[in-house]
Amino acid sequence: MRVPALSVIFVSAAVIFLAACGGASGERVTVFAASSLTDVFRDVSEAFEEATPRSRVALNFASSAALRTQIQQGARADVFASADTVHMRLAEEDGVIDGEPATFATNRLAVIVRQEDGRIDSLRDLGEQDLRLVIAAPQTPIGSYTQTALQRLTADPGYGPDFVRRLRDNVVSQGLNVRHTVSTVQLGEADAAIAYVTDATAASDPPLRALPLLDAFADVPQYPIAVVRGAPASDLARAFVEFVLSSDGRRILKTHGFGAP
Amino acid sequence: MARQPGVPRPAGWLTIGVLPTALFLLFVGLPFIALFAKGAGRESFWAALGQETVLDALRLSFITSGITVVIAVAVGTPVAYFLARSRFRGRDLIDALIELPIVLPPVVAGLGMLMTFGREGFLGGALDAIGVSLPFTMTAVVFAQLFVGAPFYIRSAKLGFEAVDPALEEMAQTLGVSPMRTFARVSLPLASRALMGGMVLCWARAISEFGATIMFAGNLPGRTQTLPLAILTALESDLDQALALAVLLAVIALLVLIAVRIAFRRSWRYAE
Repeated sequence: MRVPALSVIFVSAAVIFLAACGGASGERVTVFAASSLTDVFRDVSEAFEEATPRSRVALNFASSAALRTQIQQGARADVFASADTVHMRLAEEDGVIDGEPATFATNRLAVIVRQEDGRIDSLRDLGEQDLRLVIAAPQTPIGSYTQTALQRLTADPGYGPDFVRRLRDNVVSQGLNVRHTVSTVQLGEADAAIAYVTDATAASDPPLRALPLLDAFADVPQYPIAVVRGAPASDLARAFVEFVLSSDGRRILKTHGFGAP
Repeated sequence: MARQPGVPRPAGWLTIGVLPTALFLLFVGLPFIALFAKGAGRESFWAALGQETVLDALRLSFITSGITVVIAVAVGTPVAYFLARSRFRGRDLIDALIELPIVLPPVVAGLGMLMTFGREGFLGGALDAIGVSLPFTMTAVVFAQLFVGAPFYIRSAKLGFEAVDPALEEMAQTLGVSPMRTFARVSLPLASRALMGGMVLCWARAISEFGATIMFAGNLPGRTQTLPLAILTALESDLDQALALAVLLAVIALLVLIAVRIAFRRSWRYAE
């Protein structure tokens, strides 16, 4: 019997489509998370999928602002985890958040350098000549924390405006998000980046080091999480948020260097 | 414009193209209309455009894309002519290599340039020895634009030169005109339409370049932040400003395309 080529194509397309749906069993929860949560939320999702039968987590990482805009413009999201309270509040004001957001983690600002790089051991070294520094664009959460810290350094008699001017002169680029900021150090194009302490892992290639030199001048970044209003998988979304806030979730966050709220 | 004699009126069956044209115009036009409606309709529109970072980005975009087109024409024209007129083994391979950046995602181009000209790249050590550092500079912006834009010019110019009848060039030379003059007086004018088209494509690609720039040149307002980078940066906090910038870029692009078309028509009239 001759099988028409077209029907072969249709059948294969149908098979691929069904396979892509993951067997169509189980429910999928879509989580929009800030890019600084990239590694830890992969682990959290894996643990959640194990603990919750027939569940699947789809992760979408971007800067908190980009995620908020996507959700406001009607992206299909169930959970929103932001890297600062500003974007969560703006999302709330826009009426796209269901219920009260809960803070699930804190972070610290840090100077990220390559493991073997010994040039920086104090904040003052960021003003050294010929140092290539990358900070995040002030529009991003990490960028706004950085600007606040720089303002406090300007006002601090120990550092002052001259030091901050030299530091700003060393800035060669502004990262679009925290991962992009750190990647310039990883690629060897920049000597140092101001990002979160959780962004430097010994596991990265080449290994990076986080120097927590900014604690005295920086605010403590807070991470709020919430269910999105009209979430297609609202029950599973609530379960996911609860899991992140549970002791299991806390433990995973801690191993990645995040602080308790 | 008056219809040229000898060109037949469109046959009736051409009308089957009307519906697809209308649909495609809607498909392309609606996002622009939406941008204008949502962007230019806001009170914050003009305020957003007047900001220093916006003016910086606008200036930088024009300067870098202008330099890119000049270099592409200066270097790309001989390349295109050479490829159009010579026959040798491996010419197809060279053609394909020159057109490769058209196909590749620009981020790949940016990574490739970092691996070549970056601090730890192939040539990084040699460049460092003579005190040159390319990443995060305006030169890097031009490199990125040239890498992704120049192939459009070369490709178009090559097709233009190929369409010029070699017999005309030979005739000029048998009349005692030098090869250089033949090129300038015969080949260039006959291929001018293709060259102009290539320049527009190259410029368009350069001014909208984003992926290779962010990889290789970074994102510093006033130094390497071009309009597309400014749009994405603005999107991190301020949809209004991002929309305003998007409208600005769209309007500039539209004006340039229209201006080039008008200039074209003029020059054809003179030529005729």
